[in-house]
Amino acid sequence: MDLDALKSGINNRLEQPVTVMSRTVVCKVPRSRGLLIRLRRNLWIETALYLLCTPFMLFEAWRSENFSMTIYNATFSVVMFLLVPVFARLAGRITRHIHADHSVQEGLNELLDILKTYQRRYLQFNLLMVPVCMIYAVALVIAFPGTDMGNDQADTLRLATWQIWLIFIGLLGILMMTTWYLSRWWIHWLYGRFIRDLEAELKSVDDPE
Amino acid sequence: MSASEQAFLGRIAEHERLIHKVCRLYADDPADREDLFQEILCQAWRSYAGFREESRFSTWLYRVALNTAITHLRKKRRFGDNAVGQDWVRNETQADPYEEEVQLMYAAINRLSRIDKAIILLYLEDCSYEDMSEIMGMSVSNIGVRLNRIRKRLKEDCEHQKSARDGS
Repeated sequence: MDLDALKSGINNRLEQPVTVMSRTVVCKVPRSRGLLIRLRRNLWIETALYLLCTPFMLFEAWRSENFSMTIYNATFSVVMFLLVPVFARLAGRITRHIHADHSVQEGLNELLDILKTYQRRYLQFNLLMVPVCMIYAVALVIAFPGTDMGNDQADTLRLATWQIWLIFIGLLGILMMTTWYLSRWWIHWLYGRFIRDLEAELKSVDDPE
Repeated sequence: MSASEQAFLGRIAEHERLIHKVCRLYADDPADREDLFQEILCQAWRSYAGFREESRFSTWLYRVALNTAITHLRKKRRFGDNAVGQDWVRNETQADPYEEEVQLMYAAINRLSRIDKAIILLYLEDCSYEDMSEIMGMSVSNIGVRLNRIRKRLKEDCEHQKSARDGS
């Protein structure tokens, strides 16, 4: 039987009301499962955490007696100050998208672009953090020996051969690769299937044949 | 409650049927449907300030509802994702041939992709190709081509399901 012949039957079924507990709660949906709302919430949480941590790190950078800690904390503060506008911009873009009156195709295109940007930023941020953390964790105390640990590491540095540096670079490479794979796996687990579905659907929209 | 909120709820009440249809089509179980209903209502309220009355309210609401439904994340299921449309199939008697056909067609519609579901929904609402084009953001000819293809696929799917059922 053709769809037209069944139209009224299907319409009747589709029009059965959904049971809704409260119709007056307009402005707030607890634990929203809208993808964009969730994404924006994650971004705001990350931004808020950075903003919360940065004053402490700045204070530590200013007050610390160990110069290496000053540089360490100051660098992280700068990195966070650089990241906050990036996240805030992305969150702003999501908000604009939420409030916009898009057609379905435009909406999907924009959503896909936002998701891909989010994925890219997430990977970039994680990869950037690995060498920053490793170099500062290992090299600063060596470069500025002021503590027992620094002195020990300075001795190690004096004794270091090219094999030690090779191991250091190798470890850095392994850590970066592991971070890349784990971050990619995580972000794909969260949004990968959804993005693939959207891409396939958008492709079929562009090319109906 | 503010006047704008009251006006908004009044307009929503007039077009509530439309939201129910979207929820029925895009969410599988009652809890999911309820969530989606609230989500659409919430999204519509957020976007309502930007509604300039340039198009009909129903057209605007369809856009909002479909965009929200398409990006709505389903609840994680423990036993897979195959409950689509089965609630009605379960509850209906198999005596009436017309009802059987409707059930098969409804199940076939539920198996469509998100965008194809949206097009069929608008088609069932007797929207013109121009309205569909405005809501979906596709050209009129694209809508026509897709609609024919979807209808053909639905027919084949129903026949296939029917023959499989008769064979078993």
